[in-house]
Amino acid sequence: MSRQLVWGLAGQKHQDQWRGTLSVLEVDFWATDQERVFKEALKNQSPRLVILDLDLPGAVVLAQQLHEKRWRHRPALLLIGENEPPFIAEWPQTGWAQEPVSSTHFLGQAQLLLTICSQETQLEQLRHDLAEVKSQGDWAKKNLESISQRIEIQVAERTRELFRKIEESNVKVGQGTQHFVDERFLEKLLDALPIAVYLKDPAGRYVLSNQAYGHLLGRDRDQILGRRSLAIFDAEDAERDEDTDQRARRHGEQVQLEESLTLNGTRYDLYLGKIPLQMTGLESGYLIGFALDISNRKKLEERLSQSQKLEALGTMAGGIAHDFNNLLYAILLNLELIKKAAPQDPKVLRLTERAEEAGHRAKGLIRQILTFSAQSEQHFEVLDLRDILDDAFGLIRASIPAQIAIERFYLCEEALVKADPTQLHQVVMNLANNAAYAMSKSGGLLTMTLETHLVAPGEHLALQIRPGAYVRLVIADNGEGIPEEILPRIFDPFFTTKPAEEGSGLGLSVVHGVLHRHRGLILCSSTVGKGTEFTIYLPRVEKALGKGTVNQIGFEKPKVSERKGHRILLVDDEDLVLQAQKELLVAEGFEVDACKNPTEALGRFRKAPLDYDLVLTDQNMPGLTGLELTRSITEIEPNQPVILYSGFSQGLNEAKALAAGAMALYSKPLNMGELVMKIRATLD
Amino acid sequence: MANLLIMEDEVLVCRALKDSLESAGHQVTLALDGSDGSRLAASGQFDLAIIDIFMPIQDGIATIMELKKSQPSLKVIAISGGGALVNEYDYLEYAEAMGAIQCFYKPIDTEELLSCIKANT
Repeated sequence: MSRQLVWGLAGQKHQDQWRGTLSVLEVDFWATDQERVFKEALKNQSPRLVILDLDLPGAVVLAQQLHEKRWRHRPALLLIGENEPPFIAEWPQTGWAQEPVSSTHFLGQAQLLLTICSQETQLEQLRHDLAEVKSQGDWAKKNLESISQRIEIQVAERTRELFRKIEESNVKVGQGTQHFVDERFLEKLLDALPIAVYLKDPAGRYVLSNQAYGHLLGRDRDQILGRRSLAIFDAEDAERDEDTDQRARRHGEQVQLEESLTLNGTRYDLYLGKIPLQMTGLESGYLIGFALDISNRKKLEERLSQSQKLEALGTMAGGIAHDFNNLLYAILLNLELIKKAAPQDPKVLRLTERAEEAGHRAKGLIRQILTFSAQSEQHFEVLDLRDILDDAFGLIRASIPAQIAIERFYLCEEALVKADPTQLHQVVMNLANNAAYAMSKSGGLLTMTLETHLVAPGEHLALQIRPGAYVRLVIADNGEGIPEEILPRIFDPFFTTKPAEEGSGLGLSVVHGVLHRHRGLILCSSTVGKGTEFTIYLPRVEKALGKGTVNQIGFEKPKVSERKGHRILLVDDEDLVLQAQKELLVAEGFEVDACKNPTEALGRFRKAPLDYDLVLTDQNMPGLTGLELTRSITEIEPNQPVILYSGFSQGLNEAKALAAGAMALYSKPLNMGELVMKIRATLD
Repeated sequence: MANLLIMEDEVLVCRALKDSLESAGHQVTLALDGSDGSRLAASGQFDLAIIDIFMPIQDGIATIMELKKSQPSLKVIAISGGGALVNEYDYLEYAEAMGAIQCFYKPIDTEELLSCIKANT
């Protein structure tokens, strides 16, 4: 048995007696006067058993204190006394031995108490262990619960994911079996479409994109797939794109719209469609989208509406110009009369002069409108644009400040165009003056570059002008530039950024009108702060006919017209009219054989039927009417062009004239401009 | 000082032109259309006729042509407001070819008109 810590507190007589009896227990004895030391020792050590002589003074109090666990630990107690203390029955681990104690009983009691004590300790340990096990069990249980919850969540998620995957694969399988085509076939099919097509999943990610879409976005397929709008467009465009996606998803029906998007820094006008994809087995929210680049169409529409606006204004202006000028004349004449009526009144003079000035400005305005709407006369001739530029250069140089430099670059040998020199001069002056105005604050460089340019049939420009050879003139400045928002409006009539007294806003619309009539084109590009560039295209013509430089095809007989200019047989019995018509036609470059007598005219034609490119005849003549003359001439030469003209009520209509073989019938008084145009059209 | 015949359908222009030319010392007679004007011209008293191109009943061109026959010595100045319904420029040119000594677009500079009258009467 291991050493049990047993303390004894007794008088010397008992100590000697008990030491022998309890020798096996190795008791440490304290003397009675050592009570204080004993109590001090109890603070640091824990005896298993304390044997206490109750006869000692203070022993009962000490027993009480030990029982009450005054010192952290309660030892077992063996009390020795003559009488059994009354409290002993209540106290656990406490024994009593009567004085004088028999040594057997005394040891037995002590050993029993030690055993009880030891068992109690073991029990305590067991209890403690049990408690510990129990608490570990609780933790484990909790842990287990949490793990179990996590697993449940994961299982649920996995299950869902699995379901989704199964769904997706079902969809794929479904599609595959439905169409019995593989993905490559679909890809090829979509890539063959000229229209951009894509598919987005419910989260807005691209899951499919054809070549045209990639081309439009300037991205490879793998730079599109799996991404959302935000990764592809700039923020504002992406937001709009997703908005319309949502709209299509919400309403469950196709959305179509026109929208401008910036892609790689270029603004595109697009026609967009978004179609919610509804298929059995496919979750909702998938969108098929298509995009068609309509930038060119938009530009054409804008140009068309611009031309239409100009034409409408021209027609309107032309319609009112006559009345307007009459009224204006009446106003101006009356103002003059007022001045004459009160020559001494400076105030009247001043006021009428002001009114007159306004009247003259109005007159100029009407004249300008008539110019751009082609209501005034045009003289087309073959000319070299370099000559126009040279002429204009002198005038521009004289009229703009010296801090603006002007340079001309002629990058072609000749720049022949068929044009009205006055109008082209006006175009060049107008653009040069605008350029000078844009540089008036800080000075700068004005360049005029002339070159030839071939517009190929498939080219972008071919949308606006006929393919073929052109002369291109670029007039550029490095002035303040035109803000982007007003750029589309610069050709509008009356649009101006200049103060009222500096410009009417007709200049560029006149230029536009002139080029339109010359079958040309004007384009403008501009960057604020950097400058503006106007590019003009005019159809280029080969060197003038009849000057020996044209390659003539050997076996073809030169036509009469190429030899001498077009020859016209003019027939009118009215001498004055005959002479006037002849003069006008000669002035237009025709060779005219004028004949007063229709019978004589028929004789001349009979003699040399191939000499005349055209017969122009009046209807109402003595001897032979125009109609009869026409019939006779076309009998001789069935393909001979004849144009008839007549007064209003002479019983001749167009159907009759055409039946007789005439190409056209005109009414008197003749509109010579129209007539000349018709003649040219016929002969060319 | 000349004896002038004006054919002009726009009354406002007629009156103002009459006053203007009279204040310059000329004698002025008015007609509101070409046929009326031709009838007046038949008297032979006029030195010069100022004829508008667009007039009702008989237009300026027809009138000029008629006068060239009936009054070959009568000088003619053609005037017009211009306009787009027909190609007006050509009409004035036509008038000139028919024998009008000069053509003016309205509004006409009074000085120019007066000096043209002076040079031809």
